[in-house]
Formats: sequence, C-alpha cells, structure tokens
Amino acid sequence: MSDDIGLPKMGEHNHRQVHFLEQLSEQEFWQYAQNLAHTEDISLPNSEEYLECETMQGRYLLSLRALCEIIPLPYKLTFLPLCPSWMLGITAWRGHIIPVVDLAAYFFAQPPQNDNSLAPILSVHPHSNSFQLILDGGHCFLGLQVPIVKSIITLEQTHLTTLDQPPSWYPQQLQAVVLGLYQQSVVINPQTFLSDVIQHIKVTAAYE
Amino acid sequence: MNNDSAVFDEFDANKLSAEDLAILQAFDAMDIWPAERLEVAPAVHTSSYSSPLDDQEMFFIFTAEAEDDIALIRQVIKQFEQQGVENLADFAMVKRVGHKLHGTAGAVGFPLISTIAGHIELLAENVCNKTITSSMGFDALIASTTALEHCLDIILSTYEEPDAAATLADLEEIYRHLHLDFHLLEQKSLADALKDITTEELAHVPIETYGQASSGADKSMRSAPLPPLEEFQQTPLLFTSLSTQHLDPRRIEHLMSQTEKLIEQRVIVEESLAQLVCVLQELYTAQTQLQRLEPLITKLQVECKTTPSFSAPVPNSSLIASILHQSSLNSQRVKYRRGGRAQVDRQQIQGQTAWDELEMERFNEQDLFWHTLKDTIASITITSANLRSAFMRFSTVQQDYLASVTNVRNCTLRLRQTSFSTIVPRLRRVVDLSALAQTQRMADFQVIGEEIEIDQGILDVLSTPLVQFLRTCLADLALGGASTTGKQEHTSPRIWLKVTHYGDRLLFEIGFSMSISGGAIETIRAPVVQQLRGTISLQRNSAGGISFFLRIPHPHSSIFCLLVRAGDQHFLIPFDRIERISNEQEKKVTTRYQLQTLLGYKSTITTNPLEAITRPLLILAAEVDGIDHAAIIVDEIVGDQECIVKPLPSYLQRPGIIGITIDGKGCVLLVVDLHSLIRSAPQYNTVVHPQECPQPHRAKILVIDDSAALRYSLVQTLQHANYTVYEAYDGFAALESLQRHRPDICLLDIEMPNLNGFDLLRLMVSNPAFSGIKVIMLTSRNMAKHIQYALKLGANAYLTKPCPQEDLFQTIERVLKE
Repeated sequence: MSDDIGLPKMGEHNHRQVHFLEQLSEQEFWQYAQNLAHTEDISLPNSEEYLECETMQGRYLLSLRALCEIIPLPYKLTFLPLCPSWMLGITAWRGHIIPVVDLAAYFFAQPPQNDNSLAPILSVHPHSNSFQLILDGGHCFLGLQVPIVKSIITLEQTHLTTLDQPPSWYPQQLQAVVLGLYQQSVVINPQTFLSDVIQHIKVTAAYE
Repeated sequence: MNNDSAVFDEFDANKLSAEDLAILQAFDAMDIWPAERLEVAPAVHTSSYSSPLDDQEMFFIFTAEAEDDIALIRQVIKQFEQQGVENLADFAMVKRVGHKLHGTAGAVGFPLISTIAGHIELLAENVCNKTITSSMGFDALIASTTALEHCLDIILSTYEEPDAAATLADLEEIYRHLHLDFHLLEQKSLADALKDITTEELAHVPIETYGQASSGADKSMRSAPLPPLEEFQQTPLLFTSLSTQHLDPRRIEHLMSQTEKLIEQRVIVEESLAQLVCVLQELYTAQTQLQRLEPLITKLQVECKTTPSFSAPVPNSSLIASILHQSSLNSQRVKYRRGGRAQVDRQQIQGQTAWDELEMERFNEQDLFWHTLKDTIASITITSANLRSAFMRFSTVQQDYLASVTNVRNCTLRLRQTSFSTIVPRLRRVVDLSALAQTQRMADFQVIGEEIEIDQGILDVLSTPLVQFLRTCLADLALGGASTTGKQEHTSPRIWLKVTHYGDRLLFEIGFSMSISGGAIETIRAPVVQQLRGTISLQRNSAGGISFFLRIPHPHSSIFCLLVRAGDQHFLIPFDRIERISNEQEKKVTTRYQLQTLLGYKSTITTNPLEAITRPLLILAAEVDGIDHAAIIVDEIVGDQECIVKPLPSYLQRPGIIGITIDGKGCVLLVVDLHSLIRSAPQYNTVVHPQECPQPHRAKILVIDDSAALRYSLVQTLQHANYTVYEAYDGFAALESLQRHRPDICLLDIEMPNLNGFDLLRLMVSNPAFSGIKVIMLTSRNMAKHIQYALKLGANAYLTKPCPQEDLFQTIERVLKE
C-alpha cells in the first residue's frame, strides 16, 4: 500500500485495521479506497488554528475548519443497536440525526469479551461535563465527545512532526487518521477520521 | 378539421389501437357538435347512468375505454412536462382522443364527461391552429383532464356523474384565470377575428375584449373582471389542480383553520415575549442598583480597616457619654442626608438607638448602604419571581405554538394524501371483466385497508401498473388454468388486496388463493423498484396460493404509535403492528421476547417476581410472512402519540428500526418494527464487531432445482466439501429460503415450476435484500443466448449439466472471492 494515496499504513501489529478491511465486500472496499483517495490533500497552509482536546490517554488537536460547533453533550443520547462500541448513540442536531462518538474510546476500543459484555446497557448518559464537537464531513455530520476542551492554538506546517515516533500512548494502527504530531499532541486528519468512523458504523450493521 | 391536416399527418396513428381507430372513423362521420359546449351536452338518454344493471357490460366497456383515453392524455401531459409543449402532433393526438371520448360519452349517456372531453378536443384544436399558445393550452388541458378523472372516479363509485353545474363552474373559473373563453373559441367568427392577433397578444387580451366580441349569452359573466390571483387561490373548488394532484377541500379548510390558530397564537407569543422583555428590564434596573452599591461597599471596607474603634462597644454608662461617643465617631464620617428618605430611615432605626429621642440625624453611608441593599434584594426577588412566571408562561405558549406548527405541517403533508379507495373501483372492474370471472366461480375481490391514506404521487405512479399487473395475472390464470392445491380444488378461487401502513412504508399484498406465474411482476417492476424505490417479493400464503408483496417507502408519514420504555430508553411501536396488550401472565402466547434482548442490549431482567408479573406484554398482530403468536415484553407503556417518522441516514439504518422521531425535549426516539426485529434477532444476538473479532467464514449455498435426484447429489457433494447447504424445489420455495437463510451463493436451475430461474434471478437482482448473494446458473440449457441472457440479468457464472465436481468447486470459490 502506498502512502501516496492516503491508504492506512499497515504495520505488523495493525490487526484491527486488517480485520476491518477483511470484512469489507469488494464494493465496500473500493468505495472506502475511493473515499480515501478523494480525500482533500490536507497540506497545511502556513498557519492554521486547532482546538486542543484532552482525554485520559492524551491530547488531540482538531482543525477549527472542520468544526461546526462546540456544545455541551446532550443529557441523554439514544442508543442505536449494532454499532461500534465507541459510538455512544445518536442525537438530533439542527435537524440532522448524527452519531456521537467517544473520541477516547475510538482510539482505545477494547476487544469484546466472550460474554458479550460490550452489549450496552440501555441507558446512555454521557458525562455531564463533556463537550460535543460537531464535525462537518460535507455529506454528513458527526458528534465527537471529548472530556476536556482546552485552548485554541495556531500552528504552522513546519511545527508538525511525522508519526515516525508516535507518543507511547497512541495506538499505532490508527496512524492513517493522523496528520502528524505537535509536542506530543496528535493532530487528527478530520477527513480520514470521519470517513473511517462512518465506514465502521456502516460495516458493523452489515456484518453478521 | 382541415386546418390541422398537416399537423395530423405528423400524428402517429400507431399510438392508438385498431379498435380506437375504428371508433374514430365512425365518429369522424359525425360532424355535428353541440352548439353550447360550456353547458352540459344534451343527454342522449338520461343525465346519468340510471340503470347500470340493465346494461352493465356497456358501462364497463365505456369506463374502461374512458380510463384508457384519460391515461393516454396523461401520458401526453407527462411528455409535455418532460420535453416541452412544442410538439403539435401530440396535441393532435389529444384532439383525436378528446373527440372520441366526447362522442362516446354523449352516446352512452354521460353528458358531463362528453362536455369536458369536448373542451379537451377544442383546446387541442386551437393549439394546433395556433389560436392559443401551447402553454396556455397545456395548462387548460391539465385542468380539463383532472376534471375528467374526477368525474370518472365518481361515476365508478356511484354510477352517476357529479353535479354538472358545479363542476363546469369550477372548470370555467380555471379557464377564466387562464384567460380562456370557450364561448369565443368555438365560434367560427372568432377564428376570423383572431387571425390578425398573435398568440402572445391573445394571451393578454383582457376578458372584456372577449365579452365585447361575443354575441352569445351570459355576457355578464364574460365581461366580469378577473379576480385577483389570491382570491382565486382561496376559492374553494370541487377540484383544484396543483400540477396533477387533487386537493381535498375539507383538508384545505382544516389547514386554513390550523393556520388561523397559528396566527392567533402569534399574538400571545408576542405578548409573552413583551412581558419577558419588561421583566428583564426590571432585572436590569435592579442589577444597576447593585452596581451602584459596589463603590460604597469598597469604601466601607476601607473605613472598617482604618477605624477599628468603630466596632467597639458603645459606652452606655450615661446618655451624655453615649452622645459624646457617637459624636466622635461621626466626626470621622461624611454626613449624608437625603431629605424625606433620611427621615424615614431615621424612623426605622429609632428602636435600635437610645438617642433617637433627641432626634439626632445619624443617617450615615452605612445605613444608606444597608437600606439600599435591602431594597435591591427585595426588588431582585420580586423581579426574579416575575421572570420565572413570565418564562413559564412563555414556555407554555411556545409549546402550544410548536404544537400548532406541527399540526400545520401535518395538515400540509396530509394535503398530498388521498384514500387508497380511489383506485379500488378500477381494480374491481378488472376482476369483474376478467375471463376467469366469467368461467369460474370467482369469489369476491376482497380489499382490506381501502381507507389508508397514501401520497398521491405514489398512487399516481402505482395505479395504472397495478391495474395492468392484476389484468396480466388474471389473463395468465385464464390461459393456463389456475392450479390450486388439493384443499382449494372444490372452493372458489379468491383474490385479495391488503394495504397496510408499515411504519414509514406501505405494504401491498396482492394475494391469490392459487399458484400463478411470477412473470406478471414485470409489469410493476419499473414503477415500484425504479420510480418508487420499493421492493417486490413473493411468498406462499396460507390459502395455498401466492402472495405478491410490494413494500414502498412512504417517508414523512404520520403514524400512531405506542410509546414504551425498555430499560430507560423510550421506543415507539406502530399500533398496527400490535394486536393487543397483555401482561406476562398471558398463556396464549407461544413465543415471547424481551425488547432489550432483541435489540442486542444487555438484558435487565427483573428479579422481583411481583414486578415481573406486571410487565406489559405486547401481543403482535398476526403477519402473513411468518411471525404468529409472538409477544414482546417491555418495562412500561408510557402512552401513545402520533408522530412523523423520519428516515435514518443510510449508514445509521438498522434492521427493525423503521426510522426516528424527535420528541418535545429534543430527544431522538427510535420507531421499531417488532416483526422485522424478531426476524433480525439472530443478527442482533450475534453482535460481533468486525474490526475486533473476525470469524472464519463458511459459505452457505442454496441449491435450487426441481429435480430431487440432482438436488440430493449436489447437497451431498457440497456438504462433503464442508459447505452449509440448503435446498429449494421451485422458485417460490427458493424465495422463502433466500429470506430465511440468506445464502452466499445460489446454484440455480432455469426450468422450474411456479417461478423459473430467469424470473427468480430478475427478482433477486431487483430486491436490495438479496444484494450480495451470488448466483451460479446450473442448467442443462447450453445455448449461447441462454448464457448471455443469464449473465445480462446478473448471474455471476454459468455451468451446464452435467458439471464435473472440480469445475463446480472452482467456480464456487472464484465467485465467492469476487
């Protein structure tokens, strides 16, 4: 796989990504590949503003260009069956029905246990102090739950370093959704991140 | 007639049947037309078909022909909509059809239809002559055709024409709005007068001009000025044309009343808002007062620090000592007096000081501060209470307002809907006129769910193909003879049409109590699958015959639902999916499920037996496709509500979840189809996250062949090769098996009873539920045309019998990898 077309990097320990690709049908695979290939070239302009979010595992930076709104997390989300474990549920935002994803859980999803313990308990009450970032994917929106929203920082492209030596806390298999690093903070590529999330939500339902 | 001969030469006579042409020729001989077209043509017999039973056959023939004629006009209108209205040849055809219908209806005794058809003929003729613009003629044609349909519908249901005067008055109103005057158009003298007027000019000739030019009767009507457009739009008509849709006047009235309520509520909302603003202003004033106190507080703090003796106890040994002490303190402060206010304050502190009897004014800044603070706090308290009250009122009003808005929206949506019963007479007539009905003891054609409201757009698309489908099925039966199972041989064959609202879908079941060929599906495939994005499936029904199921999306439909709680999440369940509500003590139910379990949630089984007994049990409505005597356990029934179901985005769609609705608190509620959920239960209960826990895959193969020996041989072979194998002996059995097992691959024969291999393949390709299932044709037919046809239909591979095992396995593996 060439890095030039933006496909995920396949490390030796990239089990999750490999398994995900294995489950795709031919049509879904090429759709996924096309989505990644058509992803805008996110070459940074000279400077861009990023929102710093913090989870228990580490810090993430998200481009303000991809964000529509930052709102308190709704009191209650509606759980939708057959969804990835890191998807908290769905909610209504400005007339759109959007999935809400726990950012930390997305990067650190635990493998399912034999007793099906990942099957959710019915109520979904997110942490009251959390925030919901609304990401605009062009054709769809995504709610992103983050525990702490910190400051806005302005970065230049030269500030970013590659993921050759990612922070110890960051799972290597998800390097495809990352633009680079800035002082141990992971800079998320919103396009590939959103594409990956939507694809997972779709495939989980189709899988038997 | 001769004027348009050139145009008529372009008209494709092939579009009319031989029978139609024969009738036309007959009517061409009739060159006598009623003088007054806007009035009801003189009835040849009576003003209505007074005795339908006397000549029922004639009635049926006429109405069937009229339907065909109207359908033809509709087809031309659709062409005009798509390609523009410039093709005069099409108008020539409309003229011929109108001419035919005008004569036929007059002869049979339907003067109103005859008159309106005459309008259509005249319109088309004038467009061909370029007396009126084609766009004007097109608009009038739509109105006339709508009127024609309206009349025919009423005739079909009542055997009588509607009120001619009212209908023509409505039509005339529309013509007037379009600046058309039929009285003038039909007069030959007018044609001469209009020779020098361009069509564009004619479109703008005021109606008064027509009135002056006219020498006919009813001048007053013609010379009347045109009503303004708004007035026209508000005029209630028996039928009003919005493109091609009928609007029910009762619904318009209902919508109007809801809109008026909305306007009334606007005033209340504005008043509440004004109150809120007023209270906010008071609060702002109080806040300003508090802000003014801020420097005083600061100053007092400073003074308290610099004068520690200020807080020392007042000597009370004697009055003089006390006065002297206070005097010494006062000398350190700035005296502050404020007229009457100070007097009041002084009176208030009289009881606290011993020297008030001397009327010494000791109103200092501290006293003022505390007093003002007290006032301000009281003021803020009152204002807050007012604010709360105003806010409560505003919330209530806003809720009412939102409810009204929802009502208006629902009313608007319902404007598009009409009862399914509008097309039932056409369907009944097809059955009544069928050869089967003549030769066999055909039981009555049963329609269930006639009252269901359906979007007119859907009905427009569906009605003609549905008629055609029924006609084809009945023709097939008549030709091939209805094959019935043993128990039906001595009973009359039955046909039924059941319409149900199925969440955001409409489900049509067209059932036959005998087996018929599935080929008739071709007549409805394009409209159902391509235009309406629905699905078609077949199933053996309990009567031993075949039922066709059409599932058509009906988004933004309003449905009545039961609001239930499972865990602490609420769900909506359409009422029509529930037969009744019981509790867990119910014994008649064979299978019961917990809603949480069905949805793949962690079960929250109640351990307290008393609590368990009281849990509600929803007994499901019996369903044709398999699920009977099942019930769902929920934790609580919260209530019921009417809701508008919105579809979920494609990537969020899940089996058994029809859609969502948003409640008053902004929460998303899932609308659940319990039957579908039960069918999907295995999928939910074997939830595996693909990215986390892949499983080895063992391919499932469905062998479809009517030869038992070949099936046995294939099943043995494939099972030895470690495949999971299912078998089906004909097309219908295969469809059932496809739904039940959803195999990875089908090995499909061509020659089979009921539904042959090509028909089955066509069905599979058109049904999204079967997408992803690979098909390998395995047949004795080895001609190139068969191979090409199968591959064109969507087969993944083609093998001919006898097929070597190696070839079979290689092909299966290759197709699996595709």
